[in-house]
Amino acid sequence: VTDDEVDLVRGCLSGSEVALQAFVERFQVPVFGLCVRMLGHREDAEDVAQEVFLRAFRNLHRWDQERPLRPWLLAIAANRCRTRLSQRVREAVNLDHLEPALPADRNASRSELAEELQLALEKLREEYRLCFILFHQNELGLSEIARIVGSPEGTIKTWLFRARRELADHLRRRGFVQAADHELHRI
Amino acid sequence: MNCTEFEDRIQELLDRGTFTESPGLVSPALAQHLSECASCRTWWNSARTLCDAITAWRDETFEVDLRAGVVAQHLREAPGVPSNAVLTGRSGEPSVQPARPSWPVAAVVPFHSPSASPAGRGDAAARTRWTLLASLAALALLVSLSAVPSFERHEQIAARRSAASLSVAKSSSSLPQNMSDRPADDSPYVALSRQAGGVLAQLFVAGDNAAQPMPAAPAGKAAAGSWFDGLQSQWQPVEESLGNAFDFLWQAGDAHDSART
Repeated sequence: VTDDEVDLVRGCLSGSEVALQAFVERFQVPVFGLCVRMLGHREDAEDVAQEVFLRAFRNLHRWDQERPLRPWLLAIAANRCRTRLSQRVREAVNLDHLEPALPADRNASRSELAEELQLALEKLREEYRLCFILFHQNELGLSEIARIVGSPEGTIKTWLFRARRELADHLRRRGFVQAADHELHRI
Repeated sequence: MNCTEFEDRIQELLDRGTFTESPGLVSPALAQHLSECASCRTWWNSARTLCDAITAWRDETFEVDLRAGVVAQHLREAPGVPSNAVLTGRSGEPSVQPARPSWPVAAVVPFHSPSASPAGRGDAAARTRWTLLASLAALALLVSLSAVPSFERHEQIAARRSAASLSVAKSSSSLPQNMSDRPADDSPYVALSRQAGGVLAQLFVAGDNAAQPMPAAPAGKAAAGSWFDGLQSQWQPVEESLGNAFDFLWQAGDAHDSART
């Protein structure tokens, strides 16, 4: 934990608007990124990200200074996203609008590939998705993810393994993977 | 190398994000297995595409600016807390905890918090008005509760003293047995109850006035101050009446005791 972070937290606790804004500015990208990846819906993600910061401000006095702020915030964000997802299930929200009409294309552009991956992610089990996002987007280590998710490191590794396997299968089924025989010539 | 070992190796490559185009560059054993196993070739190609997809997906950026919304809402929700936060240190692991204000401070702080936004100040003022109303109601309840036991208590004391001093059997008419035996309309207790009723009426009027919206003014503190001053001036006669009621109650009790003895 850097002194900078401690000072920032102290500033926020003293009620300084400048410090509060600096806090949000520093962490809004990773927090919002996690929310939008988990929820697959921008407006929902904005609501949840805002809620994350409000909760963080209310609980800043409980922040353990031995831990960096970013994983602490991401843990709050992960919990809020899970809550929002469970609410969606209860309310039986129709998520069909999130399905894009993308044609399968072997020469897909990077953006199409990214979009397809996001779609595939939304179909994953919640735990797999969270592990995948925390590992590949937020670049956290397995131990950090284990702490956030509240499961053993070995379990996280397995979930990550399965997540990637399912995502790769999804890309193949959707026609984004070139035929295996094509690659034989390159070996 | 078997298929399980192959898959583990692929996952390691994905972990490190060092997936290469050519399996031969990764390891000869891996390349050998790939040339012999069709399903692993499919998996290899899928993993390679996944690696590309992860890179493209991770590089996507999201424009977002939550600063204004978050800060405004935070200040609206907790305008008084940050300014009262205190630092407490503990074995090199200091934590910061908000001080819990005592009741009167909690009631007044929202009016004077410099960090409160105009919108937040409105909410805080409403909360404070409700706090004042609740406290006025509690006070009224206290007054009525203290008056009723006093009547009974004085009767009992008078009865005991009367019995002790006269050492004779008490006649059945010497003490009120039920509500119809209570003193006549011109007794001090009736006057007391009338006075208490007046106090309660004044309390309700003051409560009504307290519930009125705070007048808008460019300077929030000035508006809050004048509103609060107005409330204080309304509270003053209530306070005096309450004092009179307590004095009257006390004197009436004493007079009743001496009449009995």
